[in-house]
Amino acid sequence: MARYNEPIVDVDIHHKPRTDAEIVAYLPARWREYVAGDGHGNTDLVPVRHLGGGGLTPGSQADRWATDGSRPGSSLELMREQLLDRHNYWRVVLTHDQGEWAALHNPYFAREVTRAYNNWNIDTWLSWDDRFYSAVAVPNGEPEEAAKEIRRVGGHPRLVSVLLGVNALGRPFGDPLYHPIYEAAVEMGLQISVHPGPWNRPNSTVHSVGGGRGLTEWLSQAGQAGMAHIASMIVHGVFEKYPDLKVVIKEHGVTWLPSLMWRLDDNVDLLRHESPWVQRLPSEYIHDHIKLSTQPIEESSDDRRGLAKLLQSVEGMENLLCFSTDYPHPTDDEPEFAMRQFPAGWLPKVFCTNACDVYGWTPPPLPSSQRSLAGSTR
Amino acid sequence: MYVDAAATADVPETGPLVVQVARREIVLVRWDGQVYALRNICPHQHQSFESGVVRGQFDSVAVGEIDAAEPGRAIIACPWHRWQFDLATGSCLADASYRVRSYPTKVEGDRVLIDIGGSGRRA
Amino acid sequence: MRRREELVQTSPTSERQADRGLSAAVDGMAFHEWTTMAELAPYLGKGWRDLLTALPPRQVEPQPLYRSPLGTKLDAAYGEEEYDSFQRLLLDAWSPDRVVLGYDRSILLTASASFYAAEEIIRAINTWTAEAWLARDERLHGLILVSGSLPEVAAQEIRRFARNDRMVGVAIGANALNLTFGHPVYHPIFEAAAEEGLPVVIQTGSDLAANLLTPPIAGGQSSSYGEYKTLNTQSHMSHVAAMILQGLFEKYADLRVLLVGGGLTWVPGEIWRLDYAYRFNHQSTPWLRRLPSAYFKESIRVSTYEMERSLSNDALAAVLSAAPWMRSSLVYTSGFPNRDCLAPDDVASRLPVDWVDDVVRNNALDLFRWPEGNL
Repeated sequence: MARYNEPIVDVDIHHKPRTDAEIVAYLPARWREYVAGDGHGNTDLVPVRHLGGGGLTPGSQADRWATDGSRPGSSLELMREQLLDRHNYWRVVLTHDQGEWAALHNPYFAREVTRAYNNWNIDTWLSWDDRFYSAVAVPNGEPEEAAKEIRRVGGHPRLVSVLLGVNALGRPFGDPLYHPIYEAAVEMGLQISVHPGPWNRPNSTVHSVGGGRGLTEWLSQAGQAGMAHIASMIVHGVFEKYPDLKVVIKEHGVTWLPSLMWRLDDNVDLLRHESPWVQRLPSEYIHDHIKLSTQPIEESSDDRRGLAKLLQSVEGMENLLCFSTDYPHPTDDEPEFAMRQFPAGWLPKVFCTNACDVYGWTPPPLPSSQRSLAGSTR
Repeated sequence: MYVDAAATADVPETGPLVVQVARREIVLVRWDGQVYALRNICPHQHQSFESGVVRGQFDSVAVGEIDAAEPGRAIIACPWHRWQFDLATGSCLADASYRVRSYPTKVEGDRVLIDIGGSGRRA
Repeated sequence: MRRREELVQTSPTSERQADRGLSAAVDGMAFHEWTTMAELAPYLGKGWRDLLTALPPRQVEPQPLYRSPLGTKLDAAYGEEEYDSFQRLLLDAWSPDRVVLGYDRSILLTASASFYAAEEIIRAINTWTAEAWLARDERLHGLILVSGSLPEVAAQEIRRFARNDRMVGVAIGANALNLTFGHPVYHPIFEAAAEEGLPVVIQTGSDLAANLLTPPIAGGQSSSYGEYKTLNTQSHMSHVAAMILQGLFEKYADLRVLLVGGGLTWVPGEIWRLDYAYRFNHQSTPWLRRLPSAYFKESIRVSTYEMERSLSNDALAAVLSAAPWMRSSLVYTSGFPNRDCLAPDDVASRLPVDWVDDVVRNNALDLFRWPEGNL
């Protein structure tokens, strides 16, 4: 029996069109011609991946097997059958694929592709199920254009977030260059989702000292960029300038967060010397403005309780985690697997109310059985 | 105790077949003329092996080199997270602390039988 | 505005070395540096000497991409001869049983674009360490500095300097070829070190050489030294993942690596994540016989230098309880004369009591190749 049967919010599900043609249909004629090119399929909507090859495991780059032959993540029926209706799903944040369009080399094309995704999203998935919420696709390589797009569609009631994937400017996301995006997001009442992706931009997603070569290393190091984005946002005062802004760092893992909080605080004198924006302790900004999605949960290889021990070293960690599956990617965490990783008393927060806090939702009331669990550290 | 699992002809050459045997879901795999039977629950996140990839197992005697495995050795990769399990023993190649229950099998006539109380060996 | 000091609860200051039953510490890394070419001149070949002494002393050395605007050295270490402050502030004040000398700015030399010249200077530095430092105090031991620019030359240098039994390890410096240390191109260095029984030291800071094609931290070009100092752990993360997954420790089972800088609370989560990625994509690395975490536990050690300070002892104990095997992985390294160096007592006061002797002494005794009869 699942440890938690109450309403679930999943903040990272990757939905897709059945084929790229669905998105192309939303492009202006001039860009439909661009995609058609020589008629032999030599133009992709998706940019180049910089992994250097995906490794030798069969199906390692394939998403969840779609038993009806559809592109994984594109079938509403399968998503309901495989996930949403198998568990007590209350709300979902659909995060497209990985925000990869920002890595398209051609900025004019990137603008149009993101517009097309947003229009398609509103016409399709966001109208198909009351549980679906989603993020605004933006070309973050042109922050002013991104801001325009946020203002254009961000008023839609089901759009709750702005998706930042690869950082197309080669700067971490706190850099002042990106601030027009935050300004527009706050104006429209949206939060920020940061998601990793192995897309090719100089110095943007390459890991420290050129690490992350190949799929296994990349998977193990995908958390690095998230750490840098958090530090950068603090250094550049994103949360001083935009105090209503919250950021969900998705699919970067969770176990590096304690170390990051402590190391930022260790260096606060230095950070304050270099930046006028660090008014509070860095860890305080993290507690108030940052959440992490739980997938891929770094289950301990040693002792079953190891992860909980590590996370409990930070007081209030239970407020910083939002459950996610990453459906349909082959690295996903099933809800029942994720439930086993945390103390029972954390589950109502991790699986529901922390996400409600980010998106300004009123959580559904918990039954008395779960209310008594809340606060337990078993 | 051997119980009937499936028609031999129903076990495909190229992929797994999930059957119900004595109230358990079993995945049957044909490889190199043998039929293997594993419990259809991946020990990682308890999902089904249905549609998992089956292929020969490789060996490596030196870093950077791949050698062919002995004939007959094969794995099934769980379609959910690609963990690979030895068809004969059910052991996870990457981490032997994870194992799928495997069952002895035999073929009688045109039927595959599995020893629902046994472990490890295959027909 | 809250102060960081409010977060940290250290043990009472009355718990001094004797009270905790602390044996004399082994300091796995204190930094020493040369200042003028005149110090190195006696050890340079004649032609190089003539050329290099006519240039500014650090001309060949790449600059670091970021520098701390608050400096990195203890105030007390300024204004006198380096060895004098070393004697006063470390040897006399902390009374270590033995000290391993590592390099500070010189690790940047290992990335120099003038790699032939750098090779000559590095050779001279090793000889200078042996003759100008090790001779001064029998407690001092050295590391053989090598550059990954020319791995075969580096391997020869390791074998040559290994004949001096006061050289107890190898300092590899930067990823000079813009590849993580897992890449086979560096194997000659690790092979020579393993054969000689010398652990290889990988230091944060080497990744700062401004001419490297690889970034020191992920996520793009950050704006401040403070971000670098916070995130410098990432170079260890990348190197560790590459070394393990690319089979370095499967090939050289006797090799040991010491990570210096970057703290230690990152370790458990990173290791679990490596195992997770490995189980998923196992077929890509079929030459590995064990989980990545098993290789880490056996072959990699983690220094206490830059250990995280903004957490209570209870919080640190919680982290360490998640990975109790780290008791054998941690090696005390003062990081002297850097501003954030820690005395053995300071480190000991943070740790679980039963970990102290292993971390402050025994693990270092086990790791470095000490002279015969000096254990």
